[in-house]
Amino acid sequence: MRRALAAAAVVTLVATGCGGGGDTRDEQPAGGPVEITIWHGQEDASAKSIEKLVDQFNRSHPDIRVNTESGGATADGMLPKITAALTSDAYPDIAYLYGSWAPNIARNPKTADLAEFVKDPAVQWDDFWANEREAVTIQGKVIGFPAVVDNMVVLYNKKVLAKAGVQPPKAGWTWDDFRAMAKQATNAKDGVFGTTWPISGGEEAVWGLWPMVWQAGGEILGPDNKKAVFNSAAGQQALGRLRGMAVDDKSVYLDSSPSEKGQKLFESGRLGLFLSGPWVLPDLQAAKVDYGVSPLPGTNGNHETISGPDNWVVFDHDERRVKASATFLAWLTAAQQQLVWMSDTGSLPIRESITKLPGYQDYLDKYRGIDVISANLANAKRVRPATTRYPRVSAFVAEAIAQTLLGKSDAKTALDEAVAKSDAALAVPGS
Amino acid sequence: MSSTALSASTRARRRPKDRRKLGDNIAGWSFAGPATLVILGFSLVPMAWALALSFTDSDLMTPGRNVGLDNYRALLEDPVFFQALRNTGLLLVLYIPTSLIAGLLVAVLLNRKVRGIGFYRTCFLVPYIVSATATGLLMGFIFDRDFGLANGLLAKLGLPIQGLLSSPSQAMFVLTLIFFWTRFGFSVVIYLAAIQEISKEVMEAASIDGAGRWTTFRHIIVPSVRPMTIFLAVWGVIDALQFFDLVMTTTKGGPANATVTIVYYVWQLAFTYSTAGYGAAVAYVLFAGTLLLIVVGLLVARRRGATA
Repeated sequence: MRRALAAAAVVTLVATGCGGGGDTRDEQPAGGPVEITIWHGQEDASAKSIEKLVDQFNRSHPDIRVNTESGGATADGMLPKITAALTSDAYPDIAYLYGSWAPNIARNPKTADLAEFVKDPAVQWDDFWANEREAVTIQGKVIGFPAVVDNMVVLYNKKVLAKAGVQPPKAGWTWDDFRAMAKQATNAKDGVFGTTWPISGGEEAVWGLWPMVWQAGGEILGPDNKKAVFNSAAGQQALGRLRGMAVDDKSVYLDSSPSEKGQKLFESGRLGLFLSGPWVLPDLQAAKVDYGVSPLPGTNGNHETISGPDNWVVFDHDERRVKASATFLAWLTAAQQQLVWMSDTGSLPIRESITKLPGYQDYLDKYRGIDVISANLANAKRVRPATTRYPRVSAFVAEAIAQTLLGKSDAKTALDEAVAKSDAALAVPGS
Repeated sequence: MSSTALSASTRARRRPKDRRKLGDNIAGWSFAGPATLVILGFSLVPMAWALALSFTDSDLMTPGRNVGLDNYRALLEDPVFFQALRNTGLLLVLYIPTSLIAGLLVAVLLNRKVRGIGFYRTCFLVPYIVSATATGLLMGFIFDRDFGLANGLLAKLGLPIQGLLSSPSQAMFVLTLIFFWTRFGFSVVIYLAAIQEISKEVMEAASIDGAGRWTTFRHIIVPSVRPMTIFLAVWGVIDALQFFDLVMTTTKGGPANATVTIVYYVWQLAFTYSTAGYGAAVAYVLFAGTLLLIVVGLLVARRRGATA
C-alpha cells in the first residue's frame, strides 16, 4: 500500500513536472472556434469597456473566441511582462504595447506580420492617421493595429490663472508667452507654481522637450539614427528656456517622483499650466476642475506637438490564430466600436472616419476640451526615432534635463554630454 | 546447513529489506522531489542561464550573439555602473552599523514589562510589513522639496529648506533613511527574541555581582546576541545590495542617476534599454561581490569569535 502510494506520488510528480512548462492553450482541437488570448493592460473604466466590446465580438463571431486577461500588468509594465512571456513561450496572441517599444518587439521572430492582411480594403488601413500607421510598421513589417493615439497639449487651471491676473492662452501663443504666464501665475507663498516638469529618470521627463526642438527645426537623431543631434541650437534654446523658468523665474515645480504628482497638483489648484494629454480629462472632470485646453505654444507659428501612438501587437502561434487575431482587431478598431471605446474612456479618434459618425458630437460634449486635442492631431507630425536604442538615448537626455533644471549645469554642456553618451550607445553594432 | 542454503537464506532475508530500502527511497524522493525540482527550476537553472546570457548581446527578443567577455570589459568604462556602485556602497556603509546599533537599543527598550508593550513592539514592525509601493508614495510626499512635510517642519523651525529627493547630493541619503525606516523593525524583532532567550540565571547572577545597566548590556547582552548580530549583518548586506523597490517607487533612479542602485541598473539595462546580456553581466558582478563580502565578513567574525 505504502509503495503504491509512493509510486503514485512519483508519477504525479513527473506528470506535473513535465506538463508545467508547456502552454496547454497551444493544443487546440481542429474543429470548434479558434481561441485567442488578449492582454489588454487596461484598468478601471478602460478595462470594463474593452471587456464589454470583447463580449460583443464573441457573441457575433461564433468561430472565434477571445479571452481577455489584463496580462498581470498595467500598460506601463507590459514590456518586461511580454519579454518574459516570449522567452518562456507563454505569450498571448495580442498585447497592448506602447509605440516606443515597437522596434524592440518587431525583432522577435514570434511577432506576427500583418502586412498582407491590412491590404484588404475592408480593413480601411488608410483611414488610420499616418503617424499611427508609421508607429505600427517597422521596416515594412506590420506588427499589429493602432490602439490609442494621443498628443501633448497645455491644460490650464482657469481659477489659478484668473487669480494671478493671467489671460488664458490665445491662438498663436509662443513659448515666451508660456514662460511669462508661468512666471506671473507663480505664487511661492501659497505654494502655487506656473507649471511642472518631471526630473525623474524616465521618458516622462524627456518627451515634452521634443516638440520645442522640432518646432525650431531641430531633430533628435540624424538620418539612419546613427548620430544624436539634439544639442543643436534648437535643443539648446529649448532646454535653456526651461532652465530660465526653473532656475531664474522659479516658476517650475520639479517633480522627482515617478508617480507624476503634476496631475494631482493641477487638480488641487497648485499649478497654472500643465503639459499633458487627453488621458487626464476623465480625472479632471471627476475632480471638478475648471480647466481649459490649448495647443502647445509655437515657434514662428509652428505648433507641432508630440504623440505617442500605442499598438495592439499580434504574436504568432499558428496561422489560424494570427488570422483570428487580425479579424478581431479589424473589428475592434473599426469606427463604430471605437466610438463606444472613446465615449467610455475619453480616448481620441484613431481613424478619420470616426469624426464623421453621428454619435461623435455626443462624445465631444461629454469630454470638455477633447475637441481641441482631437484637432491637435493635425499638429502631430513626427514620432520619436524608431530604434531600439531610443530608451537609452532618452535616459541620457533625462539626466541632462535634471542637471540643467536643478541649476547644476547649463543647457549646452549638459546636452553636449548627453549627445556624446548617446553617440557611443548608437555606435554599438547590432539591432 | 550448506553454504548455498545459507546464502540463499540470507538472500531471502535481504531481499525484502532491499525492497523496503528502495520503497523508502521512492517515498523519500517523492517528498523531497517537488522541493528539489523547485530549487533546481527556480534558482539553479536561471542562474546558469543568466551566466550564459552575460556572455551574449541578447536583448531577450532575439537570441543574441556570443560576445565573450565584452560585457564585462564594457563595465569597466561605464560611469553609470560606478555611480550605482557608489550609491549602493553608501547605503551599505550607512545602513549596516545603524540598523545593528539602533535595532539592539530599541530591542533592549522593548524588553520590559510595561503596559501596552505589545503595541509598541508592533509599531516597530509595521514599516517592515507595509508594501514598498505604499511606503514609496508616502515618503515621496514627506520628502518632496516644495510640498513635503519634512521641509514644512524645517520651515516652521526657521531652518533652511533642503533639496531632499530633488537634490542629487541629498537624494541617496534620504533614500537610505527611508530604507532604514522600513527594514530596521526586522533587526528589532530578531534582537528582541534573542534577548528573551538569555537565561534569567545569568542576568540574576550579574545583578548579584553588582553589574549595572551598562555593564549588563556590554558584557551580557551584546555577547549573548552575537550570533544574531552576525546573522543580521549578513542579511543586511544582502538586503542593502539588492535594494530596488523603493528606488522604483520614489525616484526611479533620479535625479540625474543620484539614486541608481546596482539592481535598479540591472533592471534598466535588461528591460528598458534592451541590453539583457550586459545586465546579466552586472548582475553576476553583484553576485560575486556579495559572495566575497559575506565570506570575508564571516571569516573575520569567526576569527574574532575564536579569540574573544
